[in-house]
Amino acid sequence: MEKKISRRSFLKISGTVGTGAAVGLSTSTSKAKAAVRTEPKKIERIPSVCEQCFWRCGIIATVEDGKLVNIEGNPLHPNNRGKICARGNAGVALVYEKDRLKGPMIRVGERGSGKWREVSWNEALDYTAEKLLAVTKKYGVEANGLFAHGASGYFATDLYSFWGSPNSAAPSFAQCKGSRDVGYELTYGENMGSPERLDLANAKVITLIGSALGENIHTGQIIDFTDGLANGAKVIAVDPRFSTAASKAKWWLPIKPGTDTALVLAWINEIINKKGYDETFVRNSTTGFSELTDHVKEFTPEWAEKITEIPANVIRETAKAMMDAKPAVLVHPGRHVAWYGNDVQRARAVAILSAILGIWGQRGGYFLKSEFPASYNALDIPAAPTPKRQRVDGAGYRFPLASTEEGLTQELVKATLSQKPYPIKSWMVFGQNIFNSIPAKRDTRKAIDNLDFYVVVDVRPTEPTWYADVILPEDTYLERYDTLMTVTGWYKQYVSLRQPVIKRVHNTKPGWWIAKELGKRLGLSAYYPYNDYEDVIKYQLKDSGISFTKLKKDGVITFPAKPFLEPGESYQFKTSDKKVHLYSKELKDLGFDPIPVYEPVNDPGKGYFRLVYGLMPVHSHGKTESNPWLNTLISEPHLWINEIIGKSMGLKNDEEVIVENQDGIRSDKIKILMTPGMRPDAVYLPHGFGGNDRGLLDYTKRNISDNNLISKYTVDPISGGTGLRVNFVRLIKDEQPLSPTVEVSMTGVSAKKVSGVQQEGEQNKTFNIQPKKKASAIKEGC
Amino acid sequence: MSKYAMVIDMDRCIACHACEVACRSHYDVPVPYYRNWVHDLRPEGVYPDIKKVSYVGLCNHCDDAPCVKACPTGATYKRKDGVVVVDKDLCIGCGLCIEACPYGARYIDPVKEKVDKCDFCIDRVEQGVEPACVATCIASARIFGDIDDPNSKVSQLIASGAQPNVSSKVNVGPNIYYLDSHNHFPVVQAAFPPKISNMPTPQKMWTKVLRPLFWLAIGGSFLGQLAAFSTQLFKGESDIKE
Repeated sequence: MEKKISRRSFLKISGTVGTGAAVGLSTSTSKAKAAVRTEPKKIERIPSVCEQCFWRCGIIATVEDGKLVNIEGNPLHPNNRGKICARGNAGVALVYEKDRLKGPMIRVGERGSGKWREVSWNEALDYTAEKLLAVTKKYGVEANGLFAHGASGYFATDLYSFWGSPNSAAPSFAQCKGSRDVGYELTYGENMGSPERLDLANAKVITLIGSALGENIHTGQIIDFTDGLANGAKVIAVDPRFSTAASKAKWWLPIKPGTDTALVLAWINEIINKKGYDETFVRNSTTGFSELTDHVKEFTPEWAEKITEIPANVIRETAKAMMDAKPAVLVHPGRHVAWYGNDVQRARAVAILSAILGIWGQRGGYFLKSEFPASYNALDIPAAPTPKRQRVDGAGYRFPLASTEEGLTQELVKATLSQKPYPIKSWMVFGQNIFNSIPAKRDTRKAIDNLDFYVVVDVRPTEPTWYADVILPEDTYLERYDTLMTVTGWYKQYVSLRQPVIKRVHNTKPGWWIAKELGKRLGLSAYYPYNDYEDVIKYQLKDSGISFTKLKKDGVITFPAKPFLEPGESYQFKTSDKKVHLYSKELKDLGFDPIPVYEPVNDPGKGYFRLVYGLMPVHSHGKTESNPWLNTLISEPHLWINEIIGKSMGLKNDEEVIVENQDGIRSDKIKILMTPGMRPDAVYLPHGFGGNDRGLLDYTKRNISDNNLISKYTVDPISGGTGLRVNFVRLIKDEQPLSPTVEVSMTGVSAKKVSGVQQEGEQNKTFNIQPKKKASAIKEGC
Repeated sequence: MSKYAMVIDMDRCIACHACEVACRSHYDVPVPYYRNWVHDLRPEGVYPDIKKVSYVGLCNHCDDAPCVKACPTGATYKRKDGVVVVDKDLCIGCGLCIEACPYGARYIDPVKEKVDKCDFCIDRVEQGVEPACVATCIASARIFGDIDDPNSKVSQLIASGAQPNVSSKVNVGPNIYYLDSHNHFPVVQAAFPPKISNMPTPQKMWTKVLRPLFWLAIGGSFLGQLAAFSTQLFKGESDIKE
């Protein structure tokens, strides 16, 4: 009773891994009592790695007599340091989710009829290989396309490269961080990686440009972010929506969507004008500073105010905050940056701002990348063949700086739709909801009609699963091995192991096994000289100095990193001249702007709003909405709309409306959330819900997917990344489109009546952008 | 002697709901019930003074706990260390404690037909481990400890201004404290004030406790008789021992 609860004792106990008949600490009172009364249960605590999202936290699973009963964070793992988020905790419910794919199936009815027959793995794999080989025989191996995502997706990507098809793509590039990586590589010669090398905990100022930390839960980043807040960091939250991060911010800058580059250019202008940059770093480690100075001369805060609707004095004040705090200024590079189709240039602007503040390798800035102290044995397998035809997605040629490892999903869809430059006649979709991740869902759906064969590998069914010719059900991440997860750099370096924590519950198989067995049937046995992936990992580690036994027992092995530069130490950047490229000759030679330029965005037009979207902390992409423990927290998203605008259209909170985009594509009914925390010219819909997913029983089947409304997109000519925030929507109630009867601006003008009835009490509301003040009570909750 | 309490640091909390799911997992709490919760409020205010606030709650382990008084069987009681617990063997599932709780912290498990609620993970605590919600909290926004120890972190946070959710009408000595420097706590208090306890009346005692107990007794006695009779049939009278 007198025991003190200390972090240390917690660590000690949590770190205990193994089997035993003791009462499990992580089990419930009732479970514990039951264990005392009856036969002692066999309790195992097994470390592994989470995959409810792609941050890959270390976890410890508690398994009672073979049943998974609990998951908690692995205190040894640098990604999450003993903590896990709602989704990680809910991994237990994923394993036992009743709507999982439970055995291999071959379609018997028409495609999309939902009629399959259950078959053996042998039959499913033989049939799949036969169909893939038929496509290959008729159209060549390149006619086989692959969409893969997640840790086990690598096995499929490898399979297609061994096979000789260049046509594989993952949404992690074009729909996520591709343009950021390209922008940072152009500037610094290296990208920020994942986990991003950010010293949030020691930053004095944290600048978030559309990065909704707190709703986007990447555990280690949230730990550091909240530590940073507790250490007194001031946050500049640039977001058209009052995000959780904005609620922690000193400055909320409700920027006009699409104008971020103008804001960043004005910040650079102000910092150069006020000589607030790091002179030594700029002199010793960058090239192109004089070109940059000339370039930004006209981009004054006053210029930016007209574009961004952020007052010039606020731009100056926030620029000053950054200058004063440098180098402990964490300018977040963002992660999902596929916004407007000119995102490489925006990422470049952010990278240039970071560079002149001199935050590279500094406390409170960007960590350095370190050398990993071990190397792994490579499997003795033949080299993958060089594909005979160019990839259809244009990565590396039409889009010169696109990743040829991750590819461009939307271009693979387009090529399948047009069958140009050459036919694509089969798809394998591996662990990805292609209807919820790739824009223009109609195109994706139509492209399936052009396929001779379409196979889905996944853990749970999603909407595109419905059209599959063959379904190959994969183990959950708690039932399988995956490749070693190695992070070099960051504040620590590590290797961690995903291993099965329970015996598989259904007739499913791990991704590595599915790839290997298909590979054998496609004549690629030479690439798969193993029966068990555990043997591969053991062989990889054999001469590395890393003990497989220890890794299996602890889940992770860490190594020190060198995150900071010594005083006076200069860094050899990985660019051609070892310097940071403020001016990019590489871009100039490719015919693009060598220094970022702001490209104007269109206004939505009367009655329309720009559709923006983002994540919710309890759901990951389209992966988790059917998880009963998460669905009970948030089962459907609300559409955020400015409260004055909403009221002027006669709407009430929680009322349902239909959302229709510029192409006439409609959602099903969506509840609305009216708030002053939303710009008047945009609406916000959280991502990862709905669609017309059939076969999933326990959650709404209403089509409330943001991606359904993203029928239009732009493509970044440099990276091939998609711009997804280019759709305008209006609200429909009782079959009538609604139109606001007031105009609301965020630059110091009162809400102005334009027509119809003025809402009571709104005449006096003004919209002056100022640093967020403390105090004042508010009305009521929801 | 220890007296346990928890501080919720609203400045740190980012409303990720990890605590809620960790608790569900540890105690097999059936959906849609919960032993702890994060209620997200809609961002409100007058621009630019907007607040986005979440109410993080759990059993307040009150010093003057109405649930303890309302419980007719003594199943709900307060331990010496301040933790209010439910003895499942004594609980008859009458639900009177649920009506008495000002914070909505209790539910009846529909399968077990027993009341359940947060017990500060006392089994873990006694083994020197933090409660599950505290252990998983990404933002380190939940701080658990002993307020009888003036050097504990909870004591220090309370000394620095953490407040319990009480009102002029309801103050039953709650032991959950809220730390807040952005004026967010008044929003929580306005949206979720402690409710005035609905204490058992003689009428309720009859309908919810005595009548069911009466029928239970009758039923039990009948079943007992039936069991004895059946045994007698199969085994013969001589085998039956008093």
